[in-house]
Amino acid sequence: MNLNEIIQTYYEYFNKEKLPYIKCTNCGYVFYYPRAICPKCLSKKLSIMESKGEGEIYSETKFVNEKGQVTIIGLIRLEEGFMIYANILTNRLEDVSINKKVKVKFKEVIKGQKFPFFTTIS
Amino acid sequence: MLLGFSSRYEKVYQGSVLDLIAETVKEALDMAKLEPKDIDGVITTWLPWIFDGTLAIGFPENYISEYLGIRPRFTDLVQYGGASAVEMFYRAYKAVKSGEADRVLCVIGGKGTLMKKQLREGGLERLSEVEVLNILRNNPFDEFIRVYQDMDPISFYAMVAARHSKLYGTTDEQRALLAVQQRYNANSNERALFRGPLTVKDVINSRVVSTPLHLLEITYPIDGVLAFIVGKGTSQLRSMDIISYGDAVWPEFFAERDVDIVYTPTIESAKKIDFNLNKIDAFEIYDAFTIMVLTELEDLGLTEKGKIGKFVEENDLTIKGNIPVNTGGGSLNMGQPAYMSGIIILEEAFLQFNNMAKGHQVNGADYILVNGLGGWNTHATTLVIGEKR
Repeated sequence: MNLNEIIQTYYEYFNKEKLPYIKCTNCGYVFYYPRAICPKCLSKKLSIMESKGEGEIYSETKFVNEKGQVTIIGLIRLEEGFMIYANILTNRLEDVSINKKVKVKFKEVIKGQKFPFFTTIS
Repeated sequence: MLLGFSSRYEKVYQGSVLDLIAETVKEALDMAKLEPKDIDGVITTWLPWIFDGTLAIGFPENYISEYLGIRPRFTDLVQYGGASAVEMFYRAYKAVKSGEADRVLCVIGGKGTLMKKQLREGGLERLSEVEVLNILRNNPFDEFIRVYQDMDPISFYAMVAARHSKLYGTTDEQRALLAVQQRYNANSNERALFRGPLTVKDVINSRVVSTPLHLLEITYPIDGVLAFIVGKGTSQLRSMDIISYGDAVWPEFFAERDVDIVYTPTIESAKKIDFNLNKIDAFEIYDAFTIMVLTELEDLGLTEKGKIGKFVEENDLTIKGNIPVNTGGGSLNMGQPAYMSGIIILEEAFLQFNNMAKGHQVNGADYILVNGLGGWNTHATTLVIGEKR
């Protein structure tokens, strides 16, 4: 697959509420941000995998957005070993801190296109 | 090697950036007793918005040379974010040493405040988000990153601070103490834009912009330009050499980094420095945020990773102290010209070395360490400047 095909596949996974990632079948490296080659060995033998969507907060920060809402952006380390930079959605701010467990939650942010977000596990 | 330099800083400059460039270059040339025809090398940097709000310029080196009537035989364009000015100084020094040019003019800065104005108050509303994204890409994965709400780049450094606190117990008060010590220096510097008494409590009581960072831990973008000339020959300035140099580039998006985000590329650039840090008379450390200075000081090796909080409490980092850091008050108090450039720390090193730091001069500033840090902790340049004997 070329890069545009991989990106398209990612968008299709998102709309099916599945979290994709890529595994290099040559060297075994896993990564999330879409590339048509492995950044460790430059192999094109890549498989698009489905993540369980569970992980923990590596770091996070809370701020007030332009609409006056408290917003959380963080780095999430998924169980499969890759990391995603994404918003964490919760009504319980006190539950959001480093090392806390989170799971993926999809939300439509651009018309007709969902993206992965994360939410706390109670 | 340093023949002349000049700078202009304003909270908001109303004229064209070419006015700022022309004025500073003229003053730097006057100090060096040179004319435009004597300049045969030009190095500059360029970021969107800094040249009068322009989103893109094709040939920034030509743009400046053209306006000033300079005919270079050597040019370079350095984009190291907050390490840019420091890296430019090194490259100019290297170009002169190797004979690629005899006198290199370095120009860095611009009107960073225009970015804020255009992004927040409109001007870009004629473009859709996708169009802006395609004009201004930071990495190949922008459509999977910019869809989220953040306060880039504050969010990144806030996450570094949060993780530093979680891993090592670093407190808000310890970061605030760094800001207070830098303000002490700024209070002796008549050019500092932000002055006045400041306590740890004041910093802690200032608004939390992005947890855990407070308003008074974050630099303020201003308009400004630094011009300097590196070349052969002598001038009224003290003979200056780069005694030791190291740089490191970590291009990875921070979610893909193998090293913990509490480390900066300074951990690598500092390893290339062959100089006893105990002999450094002043440290000029890039300071867009308090947490940057703290992690840089750790990565330089002044203390172990994780122990900087205690280090700041146990040492005096002011100009009267045992380890003077950001002797003019740093960008936290001078402002951040062109929203990332590293101008303030480099010029402060020039001033200290030449005994020109009025009111905030460190006695016997013979060896100065300058550490530039840029991007999202993606570029570091470390220099020790002094006089070769």
